Amino acid sequence: MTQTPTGRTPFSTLSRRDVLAIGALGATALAAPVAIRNLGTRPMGQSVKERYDTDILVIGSGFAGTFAAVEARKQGHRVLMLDKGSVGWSGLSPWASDSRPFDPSIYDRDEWMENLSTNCEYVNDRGWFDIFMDESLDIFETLDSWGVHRCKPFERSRVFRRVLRQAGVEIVERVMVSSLLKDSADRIGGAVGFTFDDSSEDCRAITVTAKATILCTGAGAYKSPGFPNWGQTFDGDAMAYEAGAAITGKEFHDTHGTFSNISAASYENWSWAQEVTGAFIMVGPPGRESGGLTIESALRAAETGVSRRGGPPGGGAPGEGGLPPEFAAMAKSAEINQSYKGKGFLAREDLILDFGLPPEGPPPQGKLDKGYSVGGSTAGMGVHKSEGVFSADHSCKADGLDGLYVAGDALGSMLCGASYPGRGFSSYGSAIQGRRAGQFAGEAVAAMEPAEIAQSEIDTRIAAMWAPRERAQGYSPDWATQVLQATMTPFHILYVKEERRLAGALSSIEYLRKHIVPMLVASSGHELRLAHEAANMLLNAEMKLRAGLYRTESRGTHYREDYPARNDDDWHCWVLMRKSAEGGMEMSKHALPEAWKPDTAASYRDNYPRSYPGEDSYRAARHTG
Amino acid sequence: MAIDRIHGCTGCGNCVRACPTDVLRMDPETELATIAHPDACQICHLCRLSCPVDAITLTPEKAIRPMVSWA
Repeated sequence: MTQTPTGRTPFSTLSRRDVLAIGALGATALAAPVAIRNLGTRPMGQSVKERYDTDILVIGSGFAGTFAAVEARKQGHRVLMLDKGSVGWSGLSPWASDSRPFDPSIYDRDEWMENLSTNCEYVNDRGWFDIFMDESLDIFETLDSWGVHRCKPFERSRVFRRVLRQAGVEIVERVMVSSLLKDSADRIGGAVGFTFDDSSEDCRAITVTAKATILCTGAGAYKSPGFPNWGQTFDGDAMAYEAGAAITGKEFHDTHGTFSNISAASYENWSWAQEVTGAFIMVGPPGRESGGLTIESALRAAETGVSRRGGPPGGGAPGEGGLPPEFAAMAKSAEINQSYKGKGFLAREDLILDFGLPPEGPPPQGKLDKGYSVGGSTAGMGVHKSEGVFSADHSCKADGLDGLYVAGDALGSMLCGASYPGRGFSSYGSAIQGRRAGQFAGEAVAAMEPAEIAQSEIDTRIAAMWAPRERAQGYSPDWATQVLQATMTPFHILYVKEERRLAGALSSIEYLRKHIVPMLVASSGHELRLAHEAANMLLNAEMKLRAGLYRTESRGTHYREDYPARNDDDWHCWVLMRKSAEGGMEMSKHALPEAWKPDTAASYRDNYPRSYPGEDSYRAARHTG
Repeated sequence: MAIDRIHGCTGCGNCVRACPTDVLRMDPETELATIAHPDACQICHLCRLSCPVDAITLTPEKAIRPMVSWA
């Protein structure tokens, strides 16, 4: 069945029913070279060509990329998938465990929409959430048919690979894509990238020409110095921005905690996700207020510092076993959710179900002293499904840029608006968006001629790609990354914001982009990858700081000390940024439908249950002034 | 320490493919996995989880060298 992309612009009072779609860095780098580097290595057994031509290029192989590639193949197109790592192992997908399929036989659609919109503070895209409610149950069934509900999250890589191969998708792994390619009409017609495995033979350039390209490159984060960061580096946002796409959602952020003595230990903070075999299901509607990924931990850190008494992330004394407020809310939700057991799809006896009780911190590991709880383990990571490339409709096509489609955490869909509304929306949101991107890209390329990319365009992009390894001297990407981290990750920059601090950080980031990035050096394939990742992270840092400065209100995870209240008159909008003809960052507002605004008959606090420090007095002064 | 050691590797290459941050490589002479870029280890344990013979040892701590110079 053919779906029609629903329009985001111009907005009228569109009915939701109308839009139903059918269907720690750890040890950083520093001056001294690392002890082991550039070992002679063998390629990973794949035969990589220098040149590929395909109908649809999919970059990234997590939930979004896998669904995009399979859907595009269903239409009979040639599909090539590139991944910086390996299928299903990269980015956040190997950790995704939660799901929240909407079952119309047991849930109230309006309740879900109202609760989610309240939680996401009214800048969530209701059209995307309608699509989520329409399609998430089918995603659940699809994943079940693939066998996903009979394995652990990390074991999905085997499932994804099998599904992709059965679909006939050509897979090329361990290639970092550095730039998109454009034809003479400014249409995106593929990408260039490089292998970094065979450092004994030097890296090899890979050029892909394609009628359409789907970015499924995932999220980004800075993490704190000492915390590894290289899993997510905003590569897709950066490449799309450089190619002329609009970017949105950069002022809203995710917050996760960790522990002071082992703050770099990703696994110890996330092992619970790998312990679930089956479906980790959050049942029931999203809460109006809870969600767990708000900025409370940053506010607590700003006001009182962190508790040095240990305990789980967010607070609690050692031995008490107490849960921080957001986890306590989840526990209550999980308790309520039990009442849904045995209804709808939850009645299936063959399914191993876990009803989403909250994690309680790392499991005991001998006498490991994990220290006290601290925030900042995901500093600078966007809200899932919010920050990224802007698409003006629900087709996943990049606004104003032909040939480019985006899905998953690389797409600024604003499915989750200003804060993450509780667990269960991310991986399924990625799957839904990937499938739609594959569908709409597939329909578009059916009528397209092959892209004709000028050799000069390819040569220019490849020259820029190799530049860090051509320089005789300059700056290491590790050093640039650590300076970036130290600039961006303190809570008083991206979480407790204020104009002068944002401007100060922006000044430093601008300097790094202007003077350091053009002088990054790489002595191996590994380091060349880091150089491009550092440049991508720095570009995104500038976006985050400029978006934070531009939105002179507070909303969701965007808290401005100097504007500590929501301002629906001026800021019920998305912030877009686009590269100008002169190379600067152009900011603009994208107005949202009046119908999406909070209920004017309700009180401010009913509409916005979360309060910011200083909010009440600020609002009182504004109203009397 | 993060990724600490590989002992008992059979050379299947799973861990190299599983590592999202390019810490591990195959040694062309021994045809076994080797820790090539320990700085990049994010202690995610995906290498260990992917290993069929449980050959990989990680620790939750990570040492950070001081940033002593410019670039």
